[in-house]
Amino acid sequence: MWRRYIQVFAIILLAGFSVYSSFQYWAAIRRNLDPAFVINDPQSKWEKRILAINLPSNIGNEIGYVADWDINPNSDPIGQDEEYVLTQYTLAPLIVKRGSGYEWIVGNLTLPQTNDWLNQNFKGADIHYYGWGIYLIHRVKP
Amino acid sequence: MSLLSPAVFILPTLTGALLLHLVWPERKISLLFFKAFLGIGIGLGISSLLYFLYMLLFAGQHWFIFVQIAIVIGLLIAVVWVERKRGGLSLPRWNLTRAQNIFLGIALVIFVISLLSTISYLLRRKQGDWDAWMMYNRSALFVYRGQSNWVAASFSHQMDPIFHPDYPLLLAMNTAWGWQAVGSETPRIPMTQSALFAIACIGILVSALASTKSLGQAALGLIILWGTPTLVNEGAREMADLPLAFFILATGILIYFYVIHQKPALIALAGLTAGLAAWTKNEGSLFVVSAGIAIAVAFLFGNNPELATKQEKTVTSRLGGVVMKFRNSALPVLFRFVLGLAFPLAIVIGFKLFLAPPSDVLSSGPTRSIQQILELPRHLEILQFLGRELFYFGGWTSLIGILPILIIYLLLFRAPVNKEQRPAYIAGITMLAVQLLGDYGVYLITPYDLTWHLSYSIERIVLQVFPLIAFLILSATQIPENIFRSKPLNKDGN
Repeated sequence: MWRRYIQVFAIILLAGFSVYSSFQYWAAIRRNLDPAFVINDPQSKWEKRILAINLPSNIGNEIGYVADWDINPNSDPIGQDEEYVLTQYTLAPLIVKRGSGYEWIVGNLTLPQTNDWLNQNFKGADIHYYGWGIYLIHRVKP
Repeated sequence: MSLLSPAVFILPTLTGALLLHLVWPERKISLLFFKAFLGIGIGLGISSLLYFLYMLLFAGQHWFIFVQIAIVIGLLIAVVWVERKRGGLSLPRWNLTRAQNIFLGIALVIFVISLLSTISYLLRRKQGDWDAWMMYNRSALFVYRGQSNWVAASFSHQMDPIFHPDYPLLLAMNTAWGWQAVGSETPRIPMTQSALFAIACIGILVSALASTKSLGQAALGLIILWGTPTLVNEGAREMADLPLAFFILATGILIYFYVIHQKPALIALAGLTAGLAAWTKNEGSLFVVSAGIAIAVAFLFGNNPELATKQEKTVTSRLGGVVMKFRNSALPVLFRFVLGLAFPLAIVIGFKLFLAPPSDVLSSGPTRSIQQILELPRHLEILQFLGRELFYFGGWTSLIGILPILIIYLLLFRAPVNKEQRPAYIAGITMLAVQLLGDYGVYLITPYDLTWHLSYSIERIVLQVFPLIAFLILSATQIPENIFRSKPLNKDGN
């Protein structure tokens, strides 16, 4: 008899907890539903920045990518990683490679020392700035 | 556009459901539901495989939708032909008990809340989550935008390995042909696919339990599975872990049904779902091995000794008996399993051999891998992470996760297991054990920082097997109707 009472109690508890956790989760999702919330739809937000770049049609299959982590390796590694992934996502099927050894390079540079770093590393290159720290760098062939 | 995106998935869903009905023409209402939900996943799997072949042969041409329409029409004609001499479908009378009504009511509340959570999440992050941008949707973009150049672009060795171009293409191919069908890169295609897998996963669990146990147990299955925030969350992230969990669960259920119904087609379908798991994610290839071992073990050691053949009984040596039993019991089942597995696995092997760059997991090399395997602290760290995840998994409460609750539930409500059904449980438990052991091995040899790799993926590793664990536990426990009633229900539910 006691076993049965325990079973009834346990099953009610299980169902109750399930309803509670479902409501809790839904409430958490609703709280974060504001489109302005920073983590909402990051891809669309990033796409707007990257698609502002005026890429020429003869760019080839690969493009370089430099970012704050090339100036200061300790600058926000997770955010840098995410922006690199989103850049590759936006520019597919172009292959976006980290590094500056390419003719065309996308720059995602926001640190105060950016201009000095660009002048030092891309002497003679055409550099276009599109806002939000986004650059297109073209190494002019000699 | 908004309705067209979900509508494009009607064709693969019909393909899956009709194919299932053709090879297993069972008409019990709960099994018809089961076939409809399983048809979603199988149909999406088949359409992805076909689009992959199509793109290899006809990249740049846009008539894949007609291939799908032709397949559906062909299957429809075949099903009508098979069904023409059978009588009309008789619907069961719904004499629900009070307990059943209450449980179904609670299940409905949870279904609606969790569906709203899924929709809210999908609308908030239309392109899914990190791994979706990095792998599945990115890969779809390479196929869709690359068109006739898609192979060179998608599998270029120049691509940064963090984008995992070696990952199988089930989700990506479906997203790419979905975009092709509607004519734009709408995020609604991957959103719909993600939600469909979530609903199909719940659907096969619920309808299978309704068929093998009772409506109350089926409702409890929904309450447990979709009352688990981690699972609901994964259903909206557009990643491959829930589709993989779907195929793992489907394989387990089909083996269970094979043990009950003894229809050879069911084990071939289990092979198909295991093969589709391999086309979903790299862990799916491990699952093919897990399922193969599980079937061999289950039908070698799990069969009722009273059913042993005379030949087996007269063999005097123990080893000879095992060999004989393997040949008579396990080998025919394995053969049918391999038959179902052949098509998806051939494509996965072809993809891995000829297109995909090498997997990063094996990039440590044999010497470093052996060194890592011999490091005791690595074992301790993996066990610590795994133990913690198994205890807290699910996001139910901060005190205890759903898995320990299910274990307590099993201890409180366990029901006797028929001897005839033993192979099904042995298969299920072996699958889970081999799969987790394989995942353990991957962590041992991972080239990445172990703590990072564990933190990043351990929850999803447990998620992949969680629906099958829930199914096995609910199959081995008493039905709630009997708990809330003085006289136990008979087999007909009266």
